[in-house]
Amino acid sequence: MIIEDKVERAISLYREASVCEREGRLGDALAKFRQATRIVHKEPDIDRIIRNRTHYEQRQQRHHRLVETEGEKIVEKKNKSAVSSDGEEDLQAQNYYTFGTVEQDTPLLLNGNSLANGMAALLLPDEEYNRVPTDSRFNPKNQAIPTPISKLPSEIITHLIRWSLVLDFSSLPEIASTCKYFHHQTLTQALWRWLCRKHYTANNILNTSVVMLNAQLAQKYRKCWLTLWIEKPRPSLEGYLRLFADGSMLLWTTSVEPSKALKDLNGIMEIPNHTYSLELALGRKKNLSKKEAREKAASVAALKGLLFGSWRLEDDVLVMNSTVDGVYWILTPISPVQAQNPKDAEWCEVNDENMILPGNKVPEWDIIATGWLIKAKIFTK
Amino acid sequence: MVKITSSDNQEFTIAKEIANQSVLIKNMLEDVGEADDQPIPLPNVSGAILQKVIEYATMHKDDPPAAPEEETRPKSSEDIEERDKEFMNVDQGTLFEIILAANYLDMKNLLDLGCKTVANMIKGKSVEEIRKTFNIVNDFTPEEEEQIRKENEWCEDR
Repeated sequence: MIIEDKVERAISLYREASVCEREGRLGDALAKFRQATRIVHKEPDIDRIIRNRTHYEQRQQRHHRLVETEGEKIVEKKNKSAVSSDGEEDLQAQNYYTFGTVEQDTPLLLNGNSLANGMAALLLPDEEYNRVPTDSRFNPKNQAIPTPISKLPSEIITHLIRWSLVLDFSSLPEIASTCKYFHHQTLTQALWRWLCRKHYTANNILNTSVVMLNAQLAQKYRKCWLTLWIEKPRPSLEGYLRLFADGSMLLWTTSVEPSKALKDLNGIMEIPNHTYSLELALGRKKNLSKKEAREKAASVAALKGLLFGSWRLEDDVLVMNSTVDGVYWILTPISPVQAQNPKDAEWCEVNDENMILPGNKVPEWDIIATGWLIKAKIFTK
Repeated sequence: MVKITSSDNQEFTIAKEIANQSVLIKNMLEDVGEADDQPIPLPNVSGAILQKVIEYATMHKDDPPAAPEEETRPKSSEDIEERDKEFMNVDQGTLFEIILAANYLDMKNLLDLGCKTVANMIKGKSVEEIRKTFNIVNDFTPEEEEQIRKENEWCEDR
């Protein structure tokens, strides 16, 4: 029990640290993060502990729901409470600063489709995806009588099911009822994630200007790709931006071209409140050291400069002259995806150098987001 | 020109641009270099199927190259061209062999085409018909089957 207490303490410290960080009290945040990692020194990745914890709790809740198969209303209510509590926990660990209106208490309803709700609850987590039910007679490896389809490996069969659903979604009940293997496939998060990806690329929702999902919405859907697929929200105009002490900014957009990403960023900056909120976020801490004060000034300058600076392409990277002397701002995409057009900005991965505080990971919102790291580079003249 | 051999030792000589439609062959060529006399062995593909694959690659050798990432493809590519429909008008066994070969040779377009063809076979069929088409054994009890149908009823609204 002593070990569990320690973990609890570490988790609460970590959460406090996240809150501090969000309020701009970076010194406090750092101290608390350090404390948290020192307590659980055998498990340095406290992020993982938290994630596993929420995962475990989620499964427990699902289990309870399945055990008590009551009428529709009760199932809906249980789903509602389960999801919003998950959302809260993860938002604290999220560490992302968001703008726009975030409706804190929007329940995750599916327009009265409680059966769909129920199914969303049944979806298997990602790790289950590759675990084919071994008792399934159809399972290609088990098939005693070789029929043509049993020669196909599991991943191809999964692909077939996906394509069938793309072609005719209403064939879902038929596909699921065919056999246990097919049914298993329709319950995986991976299937619905694939369908979402197909939907958003097919309908050209990518590359529209200024499209962002606010953090809570993204968080909500990250829990369930099925729900996202059903609701298919139109991305809204809220921002998704992350600040660092050294004045860099991390921007998430759907654009894959740097010039478009710039437009998105300008779109955010044009909304008066946002710049103000950012300044506030940066300026909460009093008694800054010289270095910190300089970094803060650089960040604020960047925010304003980004609106008015002129950008040019230099060595495969977009560079902007800012109004602050000797400071150039570079916009580089940070997704691991290869650039379509090599002449566009350089791709680089976010690593520990770019992230100031431990436990910060890029959002896993991979279907409609590209990361852009906006970093200050100081040229000596 | 590139030489490739099937599992039953049939040798085919094809143009490089056709061979490069298979990412597997393309990578092998890059690794091996310009050693023309050594044929590339493809032990997982039989001669007849390899013939079909080459036919497909030849048909599509002048197609514009697809975007490297799915995310950036603007149009949905769900329709099958007429010539591809004819190409895929084969028995089930061959069809699945082609899919397997496309998977092995890493030819995304052919794989997608194969999957779409099979998807068209599933479309509009009842459960029993699907099982019959593919010789799939039903391992559900009637109660389980009924429950699954109920679970998935919501999709009719979508």
